[in-house]
Amino acid sequence: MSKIIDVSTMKYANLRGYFRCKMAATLCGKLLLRQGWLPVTHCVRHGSKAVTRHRRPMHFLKQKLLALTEYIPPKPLASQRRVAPRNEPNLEVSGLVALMKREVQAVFQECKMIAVVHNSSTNAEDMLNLRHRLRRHGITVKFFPNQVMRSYLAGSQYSNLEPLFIGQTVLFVSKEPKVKEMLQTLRTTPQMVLMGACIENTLFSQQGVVSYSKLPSLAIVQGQVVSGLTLQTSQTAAMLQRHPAHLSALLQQYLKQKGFSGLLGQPEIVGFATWLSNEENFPDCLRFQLNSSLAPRRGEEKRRANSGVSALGAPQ
Amino acid sequence: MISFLKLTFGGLASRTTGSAGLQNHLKILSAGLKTYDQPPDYSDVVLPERTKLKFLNKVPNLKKAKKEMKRLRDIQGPAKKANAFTSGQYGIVALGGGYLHWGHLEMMRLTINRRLNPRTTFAQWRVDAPHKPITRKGLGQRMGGGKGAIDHYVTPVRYGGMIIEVGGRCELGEVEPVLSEVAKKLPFPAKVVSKESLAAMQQEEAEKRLNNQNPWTFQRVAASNMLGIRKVLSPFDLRYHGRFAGKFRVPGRV
Repeated sequence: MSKIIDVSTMKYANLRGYFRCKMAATLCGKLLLRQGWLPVTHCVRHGSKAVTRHRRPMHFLKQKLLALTEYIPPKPLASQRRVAPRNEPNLEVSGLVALMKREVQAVFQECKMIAVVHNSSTNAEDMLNLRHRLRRHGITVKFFPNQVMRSYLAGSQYSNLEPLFIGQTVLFVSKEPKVKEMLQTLRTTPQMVLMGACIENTLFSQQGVVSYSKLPSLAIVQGQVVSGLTLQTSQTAAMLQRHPAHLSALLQQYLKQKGFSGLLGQPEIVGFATWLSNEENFPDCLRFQLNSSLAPRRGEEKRRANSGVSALGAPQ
Repeated sequence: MISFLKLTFGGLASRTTGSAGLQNHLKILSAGLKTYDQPPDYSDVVLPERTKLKFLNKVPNLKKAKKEMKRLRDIQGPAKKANAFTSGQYGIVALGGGYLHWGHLEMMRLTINRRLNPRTTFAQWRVDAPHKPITRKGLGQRMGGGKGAIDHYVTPVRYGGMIIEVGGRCELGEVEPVLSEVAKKLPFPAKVVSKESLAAMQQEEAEKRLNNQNPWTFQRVAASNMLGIRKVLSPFDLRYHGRFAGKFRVPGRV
């Protein structure tokens, strides 16, 4: 046999057993031949080490077991979680906070324009320049802690401004709503981003502020309204002031154009009057004048004649 | 002369009545006034005859000193005895196992006796004098030739064992600096406790054990030998459920 026979696997085999094995190996073919030689595993005990200075290295399985069986604290009950107040810092106790809150209140009462601006890392020099430029238009820059602002806004009518006060926020404040000037100044300082504003007790978004700035000034708008109103009334007055003679002249002119001259009082004239009394045929320029000069209509006259009351008599 | 005396006395009398009248309208300024806590009641405190710490022998008085084996079992696991207060109110408790030498005991004795007032406070040992022999071979000796001679004696201390008790007419704030100074120098982690804080500590530990939300406890896994885990666990682990690793207390385990 050319194959190497592993004798160690057949420790107690006698010759007969060895041959039986060989026969089985030939029978089973390559399956059994693949079986490798397994080294004898020893259970070696090294004795317990009497080391007390340090912790002995732990078996990995025991480490796993310890990790699995760690202590898990009980969760607080849902009701407890709801009842327990969030640990908000009590701002009211501090006198400084109360003072700042009063300042904020004064700002909101005095100023017509309060713009909330996000300050993203402006250095001191830029801030000084910005303040200077804003100061020219009477706009002042104010810094308040967000907590103070939130605590003030929460109880005031401006509570919708509250979500704007996150991170570094600055207030641009002026007694007059100088939005255009503020926007111009902000255009040159990209570090400052306008978030929203409260202008004359109205809250504006960023777009709202921009569109507010595009509006003409209040005096101009008022002037436009007044001029529009006066135009209407003056026109009416001018029309009313025209003499009724103007009407008769117009009528005469009309008749002349139609070729009815010298035939006044004729049935044609009556026919014209009936035609004229029909409002649809009435020329537009004359209608208003006729109505205003209280010209009695044909049907009305007839009714009045039937009832035997004069045209200027008491109502029926 | 008599008239003058009369005048003066009359004036005095009138002044006193006037001042009494004034006192009714006196404004009491509350700024700076303090309401002090009531001092603790020490009426039931009985000081023992000897309030200072006793001297402990360096070597036990034995007829025949016998060498012992290491027997590390005596510092492993929690203390079974001397783990509660007896007569004192404050003390030092061990948070790990270890051996106290005679030097440690002497350091504690000297410091505490020097710093505490023996008229108002007393201190007591809760550990025995060194009794466990430790052998060493002499310097420069070749290995072999049997076990060495007894070098010194130590006192084994387990986790949770009290070492010293202090009591008397004193508060924790008075004795704590001394005790913590001493506790720092011990060969195992130790802590200054009062009767209440020790009870609170034990209570917290018991509550944690009771309220553990983890369904997989060490005890359960080890007892039912899940996945044959007992192969890597020792009987020591089975007894203490992984809370101790030798003389150390594993922190956070329940």
